[in-house]
Amino acid sequence: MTLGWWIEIAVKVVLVFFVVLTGVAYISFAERRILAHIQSRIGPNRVGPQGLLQPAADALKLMTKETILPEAADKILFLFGPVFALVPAILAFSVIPFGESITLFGREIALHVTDVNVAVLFILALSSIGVYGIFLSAWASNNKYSLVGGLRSSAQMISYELTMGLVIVAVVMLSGSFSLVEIVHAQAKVPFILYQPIGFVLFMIGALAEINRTPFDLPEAETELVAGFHTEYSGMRFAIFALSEYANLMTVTSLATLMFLGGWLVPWPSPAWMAPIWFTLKVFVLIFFMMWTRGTLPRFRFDQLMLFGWKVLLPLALANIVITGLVLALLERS
Amino acid sequence: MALVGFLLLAGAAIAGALGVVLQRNALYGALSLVGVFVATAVLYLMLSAPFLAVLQLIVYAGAIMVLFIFVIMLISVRYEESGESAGVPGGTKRYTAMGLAAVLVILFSILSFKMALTPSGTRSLGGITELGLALYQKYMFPFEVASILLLVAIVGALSITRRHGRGLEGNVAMEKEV
Repeated sequence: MTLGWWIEIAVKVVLVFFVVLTGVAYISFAERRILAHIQSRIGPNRVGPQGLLQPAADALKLMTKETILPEAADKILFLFGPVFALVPAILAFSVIPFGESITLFGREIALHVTDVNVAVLFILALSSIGVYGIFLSAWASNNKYSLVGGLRSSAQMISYELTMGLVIVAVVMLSGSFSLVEIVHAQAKVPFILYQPIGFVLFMIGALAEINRTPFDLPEAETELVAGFHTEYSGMRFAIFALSEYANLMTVTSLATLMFLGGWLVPWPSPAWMAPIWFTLKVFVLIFFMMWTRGTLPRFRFDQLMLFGWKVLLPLALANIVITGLVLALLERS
Repeated sequence: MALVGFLLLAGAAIAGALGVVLQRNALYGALSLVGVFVATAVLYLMLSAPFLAVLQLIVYAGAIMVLFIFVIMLISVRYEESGESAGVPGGTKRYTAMGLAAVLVILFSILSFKMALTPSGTRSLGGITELGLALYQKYMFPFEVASILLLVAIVGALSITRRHGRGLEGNVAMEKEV
């Protein structure tokens, strides 16, 4: 652990942090513009050219707003709840690789903060910790809409996490490793979406539910729950929920890219420094797809959501594992 | 470096454990337990057992504690209601508890001495490959027995709690009531 190593890690952490936060700000902006386009509106286009400075204006506005503390709230948990949501969301990026290593200033620098050999599980663990942020804030608000929203959200996240976990099992069976770098390397010839089409669809559905997006946005169904778990939040704490939601969106789409779309690999030769660009492009295609769904699909009913998760997705994911295992065993024998 | 990390984490784990016992508010107690799990998970990481650490997070912090907190939130025990149980229990209860604590301390110190004698770091226990091989080859039979046992427990719990005469629709209706 030389000084160079410390500097490299510090620079990477700061850079990833910066990229994630800027990315999040501009994804929220992109979503507003794209949704507006889908709904034949114009969307925010006043601040800067094409409204490109809108996120900065939003940030200023939210930071200067007052934090309203409800009289009946549990003070400590109410104030710290959003932190529990944001920290796991950003922490997930510490294990997401953006490319192979590049040589810079005579040092070989790997394009990820750290490559742990259980990276996929680490992200799953973080997402299950992320549930706390939502339902602690919901409970601490001491508001029935918040509580119902928080309960729905945690029930839904626990149910759909299972499907996602089982889909990941099939991917890991194909790649033979839990490391995201190794999973990408295993797709050097064929991206796993071709081997695991059902797995990919299941994963994307699970991801939509996991991050509480339409058609699974029941936790914040405004027609029935005002704003769900963040009804009582205002100012920067409200912004933190929005931030963590978009950070989670980036995490699941990055994970889907790494596991099914071959990560930063492209079928044609490309220099190592292009890797993060290909990766970002693929992630943005998936993010666009998720915004498109939001503009297109109506919301589920809660019992439909539960039945769908447990009676359709879960058996399919199990069958996917069994079939993958069978095919792998047969191939190995022949 | 490692020692500082260990001391910090061990301190956090002990503080959390004290919190579980001493907190009046049941929800805060449960959260302290989550803190204990997270601290031990990071300890596992430092002992180069990443798989165990992640499992600790997923299973204990992510699944079991979420259910605990679910229950606490739903029955909404905000603060301990009666003041009677707050005092120190007297008589036999007190001595039994103290005796059990003494046994625990003795057992742990014997165990940690034993552990300290065996050279550490020579074999990797926490590696995902080693664990998989051990589970699916050496301990295949006990592993399968354990999983069937868990399955039986799930089915049993369902058949006991399910109200007679109310099918799945009844359960869905209950969810709606929530």
